Amino acid sequence: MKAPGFAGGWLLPREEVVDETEKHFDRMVAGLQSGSVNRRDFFRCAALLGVSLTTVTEVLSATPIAQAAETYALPPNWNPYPFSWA
Amino acid sequence: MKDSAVPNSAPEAKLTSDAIEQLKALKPKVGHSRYDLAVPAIARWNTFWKKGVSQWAGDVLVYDTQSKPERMLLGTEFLINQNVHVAGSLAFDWVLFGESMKRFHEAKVATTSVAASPSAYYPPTSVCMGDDVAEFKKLAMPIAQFFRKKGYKEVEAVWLLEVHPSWFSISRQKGFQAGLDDPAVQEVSKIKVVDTNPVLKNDDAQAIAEAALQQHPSLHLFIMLAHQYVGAAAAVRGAGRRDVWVAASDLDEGTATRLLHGGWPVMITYSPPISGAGLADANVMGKILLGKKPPLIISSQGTVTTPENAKKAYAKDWGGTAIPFK
Repeated sequence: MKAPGFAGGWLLPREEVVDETEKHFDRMVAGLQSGSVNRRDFFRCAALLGVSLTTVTEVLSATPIAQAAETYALPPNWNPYPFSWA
Repeated sequence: MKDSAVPNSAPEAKLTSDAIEQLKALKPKVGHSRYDLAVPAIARWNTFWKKGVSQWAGDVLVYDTQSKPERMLLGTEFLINQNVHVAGSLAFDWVLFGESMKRFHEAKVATTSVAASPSAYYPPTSVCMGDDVAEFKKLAMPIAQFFRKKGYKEVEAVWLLEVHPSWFSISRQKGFQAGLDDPAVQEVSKIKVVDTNPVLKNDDAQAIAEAALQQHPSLHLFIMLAHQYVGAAAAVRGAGRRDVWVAASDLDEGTATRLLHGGWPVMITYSPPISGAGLADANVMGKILLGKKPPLIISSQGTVTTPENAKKAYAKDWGGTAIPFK
């Protein structure tokens, strides 16, 4: 007997819930790549879906950030840690 | 610290109007990952920081770790993945947060920190904090004077310590201990620590304080120099022990109300520099984003607070606002 799961308001067999989750995540990845889902929402929704942090960061790292939205450019010779504590 | 710190009133800790205009044109994105926004002092640090960066930032992100260690790395990854170039961090556990700071360093994301350096191995670019060693030492004498007025030349105390100490909680402890060891303080009234207990949250602090009241019937003072003072105060109040007091930290609703109502069970607290450190945190982010080398440490000063100066301390440390608690 299949263990029941909950998705979309209906009790579904666990395999179908997993399948639904994967499809949902695939749609989110597509949305992220097309620009219809922003990176913040992607991160938040992936956490809600229970997707592992490793997977989320892999997808985000592989998806270039939309340059149009970014007007800030790092100063030349960017050195975020100018002090030496050694 | 003397060699590397500048006060938050110094020009190095301020943004000029020209710098603000430059930042406004650049629209940089900034973020902060906070230990727990349910802690009033942290929520207000966040408010003042937001007020500062909102003058010029294109986007402002905040991640609440909710005091859950497992959320620390999520917050770090969130900020890195949002392409934030300067991230603020406020973590109380320096061991657990080392990994988080390592990731910020590896991602070349500059970091600031309010109140504490989260990692000794991967320190932030700039820290906005008080000198807790010097400041918490100042709490000892008013406590001794308080007990002397009541006729006690010597009192027994139980010290509750944070189970996951941060850089600043250790600084507070060192400072306060130095105060207790000061012969001038001992001359007024000797505060004898008869027991120390580690505590995690308000609830276990209360249970441990309740047990300590049973174990040490001649106890007159609990020392809990962090927000878990709430648990110790609840235990004293619950036991109806009008001869036991609490030395606390922070000037939130709990401490403020108790101080305004005569100082029992909380008789003294340290009001951290909320607006001073929060605004300095915002300013230093702006400097970093403009490619300027920020001060290593920006020091802000809070206030040793008793019933006599509670209102004044709140106004000074919370951005000039009147104390909202009665």
